[in-house]
Amino acid sequence: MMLYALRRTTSGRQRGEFPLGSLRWDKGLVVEVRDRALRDSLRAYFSEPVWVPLPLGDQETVLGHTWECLEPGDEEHFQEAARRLYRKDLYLDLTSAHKP
Amino acid sequence: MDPIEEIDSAKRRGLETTQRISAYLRTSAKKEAKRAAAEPKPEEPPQAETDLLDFSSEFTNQNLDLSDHGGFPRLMDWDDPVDEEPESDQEEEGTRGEGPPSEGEGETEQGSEAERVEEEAPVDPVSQTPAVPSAKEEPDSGSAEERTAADLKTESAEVVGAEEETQKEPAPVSSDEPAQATEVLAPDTPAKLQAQDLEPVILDVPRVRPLPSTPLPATGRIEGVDPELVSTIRRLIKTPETEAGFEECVRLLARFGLGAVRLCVRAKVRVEILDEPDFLSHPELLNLRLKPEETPTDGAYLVGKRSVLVDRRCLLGRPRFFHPALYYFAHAFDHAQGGEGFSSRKAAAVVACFDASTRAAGGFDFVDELAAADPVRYFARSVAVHLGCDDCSEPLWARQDMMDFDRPMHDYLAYLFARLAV
Repeated sequence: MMLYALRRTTSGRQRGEFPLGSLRWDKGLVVEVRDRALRDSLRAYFSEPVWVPLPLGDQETVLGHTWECLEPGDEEHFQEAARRLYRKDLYLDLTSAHKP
Repeated sequence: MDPIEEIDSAKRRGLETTQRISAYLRTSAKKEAKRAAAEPKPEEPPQAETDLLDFSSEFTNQNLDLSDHGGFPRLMDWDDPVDEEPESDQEEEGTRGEGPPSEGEGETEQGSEAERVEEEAPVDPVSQTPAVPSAKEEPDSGSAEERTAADLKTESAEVVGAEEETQKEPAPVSSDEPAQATEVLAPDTPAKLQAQDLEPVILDVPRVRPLPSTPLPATGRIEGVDPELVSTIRRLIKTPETEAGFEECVRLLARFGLGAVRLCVRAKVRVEILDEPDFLSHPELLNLRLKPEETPTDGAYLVGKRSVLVDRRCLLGRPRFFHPALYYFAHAFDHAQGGEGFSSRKAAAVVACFDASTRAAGGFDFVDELAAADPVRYFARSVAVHLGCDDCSEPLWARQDMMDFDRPMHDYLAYLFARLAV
């Protein structure tokens, strides 16, 4: 999946024109980024646990939530962490297929 | 398949259907004629019914004398059926039900069902309660809600006599009542006993959650907040003012503005700040008989009671990802706006934004799983993002994020709160 930078523009953050590299899960995290600093920061980012709020109850009785901690090392964690890459001003195009 | 064959077979099917209908009409007309001949009624000879070309035979059968109840069934239906005697109703059903299948057949069946319900309801000897005469679907849910609300009131009272009352209550529930109503009632009746039993089980469950990081000062949090707004919010919060976390809660709820807070006061919303053990042993949560893993953390919104529960720890320190006080009060605000249900379920703007986010790249435009669940949670989560400032140490979304990634919802909330401020 292609990785892009998020550019800050007057109409909000937008995806950069050129990809910075690619990220994918293939029995482990595969980072293909030429920028060494970015590569290291991505590895560090994907090695942190991710907290996910999960909805509980229904609209008739009680509305609540609980938390699930996703530990690094599986695809679910990778997917969830990839969804939050905007916090690092990065955008992972989940629809783009990996080209080896 | 050959298109000519297809057309032929379609024609054949149509012809067969027509023949079947005409055969049915003929036999039913014969039956009607026989029945009319056998009955002692001298009036209304069924000549017109035999005319098969006439598709609205009900009108041709009518006796135009409006004073006669039997001859003008459709027009007399709207009249108050309670005044009519059951015998005359049955006669009407008999005459109506045997006509040829016409456009109004479904209506007459529904009408007769409604009459049957009306007839049966007052006779119910077990319940001895006045039955709701109209609307066959609504009473199920409505009555259930009313009963649960009444039961919850009795449970919340810490009086010993309440137990006896709740134990006596199941007796009037008749066997004729719908299953849903009894299902709702059943868990509530022995509530006190069950609550005591469940308490230690839930307390033993280890709760996994991100803990607040930075501690906050307990006092001096509401300096600079509009005093009128503070006094209005105080009416909402049922926790004593002296308890820790009260001022922080006032400060957060003040962000909703006077209009929204007044709306919640009118809707009798209440806010409770609880310690984690109290939160876990809250009687209303226990009455819901949630499994240990289904017990909410950080906060909850009790829909029936319109109660917002906030874990005190979230008010004494900065939560990491989002603030439950804002999120759950947004539910209460949504509920207060909507009256009976949540307004976000009806608001076209919210539903459209939710649908748009669902369609976008597999739902990746949502802030988190909560928002992706349904429009109600999506609205509350968006409100929490919109009103959040520096409350969390690592907010999943700030207002700027919502502006960038969910601009329509951002604009809608800006409009909504601007309107409430006026």
